[in-house]
Amino acid sequence: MQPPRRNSTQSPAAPPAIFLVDIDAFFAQVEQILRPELAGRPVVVGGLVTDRSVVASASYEARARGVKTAMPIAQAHRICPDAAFLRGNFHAYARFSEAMMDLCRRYTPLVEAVSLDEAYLNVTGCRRLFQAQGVVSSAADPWPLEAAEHLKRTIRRELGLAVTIGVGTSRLVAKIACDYAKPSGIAWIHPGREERFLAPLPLAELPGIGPKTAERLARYNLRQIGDLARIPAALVAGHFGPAGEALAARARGCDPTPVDPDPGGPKSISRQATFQANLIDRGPMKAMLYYLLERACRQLRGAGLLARTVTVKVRYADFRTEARGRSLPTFSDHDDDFWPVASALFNKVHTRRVGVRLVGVALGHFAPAGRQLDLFGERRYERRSRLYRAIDGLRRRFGFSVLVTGRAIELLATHDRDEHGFRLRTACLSR
Amino acid sequence: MKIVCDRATLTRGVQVASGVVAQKSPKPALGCIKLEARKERMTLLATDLEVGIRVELDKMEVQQTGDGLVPADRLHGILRELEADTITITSTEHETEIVAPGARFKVLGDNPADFPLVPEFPASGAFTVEADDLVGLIQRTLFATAKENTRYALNGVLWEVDGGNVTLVATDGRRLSLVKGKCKDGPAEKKTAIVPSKAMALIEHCLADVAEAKGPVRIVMGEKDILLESPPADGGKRIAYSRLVDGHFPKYDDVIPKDFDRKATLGTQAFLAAVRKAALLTNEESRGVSLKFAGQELMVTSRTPEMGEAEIRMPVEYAGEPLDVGFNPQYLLDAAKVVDAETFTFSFKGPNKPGVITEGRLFTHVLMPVSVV
Repeated sequence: MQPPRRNSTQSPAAPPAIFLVDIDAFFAQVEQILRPELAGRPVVVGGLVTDRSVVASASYEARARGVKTAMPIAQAHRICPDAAFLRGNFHAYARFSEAMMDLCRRYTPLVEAVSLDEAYLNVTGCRRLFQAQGVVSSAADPWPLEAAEHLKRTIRRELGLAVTIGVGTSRLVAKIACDYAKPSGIAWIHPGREERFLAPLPLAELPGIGPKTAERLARYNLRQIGDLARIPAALVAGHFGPAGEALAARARGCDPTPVDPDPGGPKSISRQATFQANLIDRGPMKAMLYYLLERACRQLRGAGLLARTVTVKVRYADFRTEARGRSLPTFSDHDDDFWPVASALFNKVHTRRVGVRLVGVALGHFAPAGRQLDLFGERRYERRSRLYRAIDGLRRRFGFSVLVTGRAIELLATHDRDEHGFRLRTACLSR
Repeated sequence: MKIVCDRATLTRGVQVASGVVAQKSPKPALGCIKLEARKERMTLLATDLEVGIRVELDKMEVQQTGDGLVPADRLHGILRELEADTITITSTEHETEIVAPGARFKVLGDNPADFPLVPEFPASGAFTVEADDLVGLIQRTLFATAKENTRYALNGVLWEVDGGNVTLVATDGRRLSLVKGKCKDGPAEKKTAIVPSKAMALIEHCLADVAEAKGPVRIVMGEKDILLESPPADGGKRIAYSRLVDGHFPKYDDVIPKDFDRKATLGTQAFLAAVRKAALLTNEESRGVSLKFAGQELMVTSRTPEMGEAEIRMPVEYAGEPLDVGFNPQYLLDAAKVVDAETFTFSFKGPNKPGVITEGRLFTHVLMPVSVV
């Protein structure tokens, strides 16, 4: 049984219609639009050939040659030497993303942006509206397909972006349909045919099934989604616990998760950066860590949140990654409340005598701004709050780079700056 | 060593001493209770090197003097399971035999000679506080000490003794308890000491455990340690020893507000009940409960995303502008619970300013609010 949904249909008979709109090879495609000479050429965003970074996005021309996301740039260069290698311009991508989300909201207010290049739309019951707007013709029965085509055309015309749209009766089906139709396609799974569509697909395609679960299922000779769907749900639940029940439902194409235009803010705020060359010295690593912490704290304050936990991540040259977190005694949004903890965590995490390629920091366990006041430290807290407000204000007005803190000053020697701060290697798709 | 003891008395003594025993110590002797049998009496000793205790037990029949060292948890367990009124304990250097009708235990322990020294009560220099007064003083302060040890020197209670007055202060940085009491033969010049929370809990336990513990508690406050001797309980005295916290207690006088423009008089039990109800719909992430004073009514409300909200009303006597101020409900409950009167006053200077709970002139509790941004 599905729970009642906030954005359910107006007539009980109308099946849900969910779109997943996904921009094809997002960063690379934006670069191709902004620099027409790159059109039709393999494009790799993530770093220059000399940068020691990973692929953030590769155009389909590059993918055809075997370039994959998260592959080291050097490796991408070996298999596709004639590609254009770019560091990327995160702020341009953010503008394109924002424009596409706004465009989607013309069709329905129920738009949930899950990342910069992906959004779910709930258009259940919009048929008459779309008819009135001329989005779909009155006679056509496959109106969701028509609406998806209309949306795809509009995005192409107004933004120049090629997108893939998956249409289904749940988020899950829309997602898998979208993966199926890439690149630049549309797939509509008719209501009632979800199971038939999913059945022949390998189980690993089902969101929520990682390599471990897939391996466990393979031991029972369950390899395709249909294999799992044929087994009674109770049996799956008995074997996999409460998660099994959801798993069995998903194998049948059921996914009760609603499209939520306001999913309640972030669960964590994180920043990470890959170094140009593997580092051995702690000095510049800590400078970068502090800089990343500053950026995360600024976002935290901007969102009006307080955080309690801080996590520090270190990735070594051999890609082994260590991370550790710790809680503060109280909630805070001050850089220097987090820094001693983050710095101590870094010392604990950074233990191997191996070069470090990446450091990262994450703030979590949020509470709305509202704070237990302190008997003795209130005046100091107030002073620091004013300081951070002033710093945030300056940076908002003159760009992040107008101010470099002493702890991050070592970065000046190794990193270029623009108005947005130090130019880091890898932009990130998550919002 | 051989003694014949009254099991109930011994059990109470062992319970008190067990509170001191070091739970995880590399020195096994610290996990033990030492039994000292002397001609005139028997004494139980325990220490974790910071805090120590001597429990004197007079009603025991010492048949052979000597010492024994028994792991505290085993001794306690055995005494709890035995039903006999009288038991016999015999100790040699490395083992202790406990015999009751139909039961015999041989417990392997350590050499009593390895046990550290627990100081005895000095012959002079003591001042006194009445036992039931002292329990009250401890109960009104101990809860406000810091639980995590990152903040100042706040893991203890500050004692200030001056002639006939004794003042105890405790704070965890967010709330502060101050309580005043009387003492006899106090030093002419003011003396201060920070006594660790564990020792304060031990003293309370020593005194509150035995109902008939009435009479003066003798106290000697040194530079580095404090010793307290209870009035006779179970026919023997209990002597608690503790090292003092080495550190500076914050200047507490500066943070106790002196003037207010809003004042409420609240029924203690009604207030406790209202806060407990409102607290049902709070969690760690919520901003606590909010107290809204207006006219002659107090409204206690809480609101937690994804949980719900509560609204509890109670009548109060209130003078001043309406006020809306938020607090951690646990802090309100902790403070109101130790109020020993039907009503107390709660005074304010405005939202985001400390609130002060007072009971008579002797108990003052300062609470920092939760800011509403």
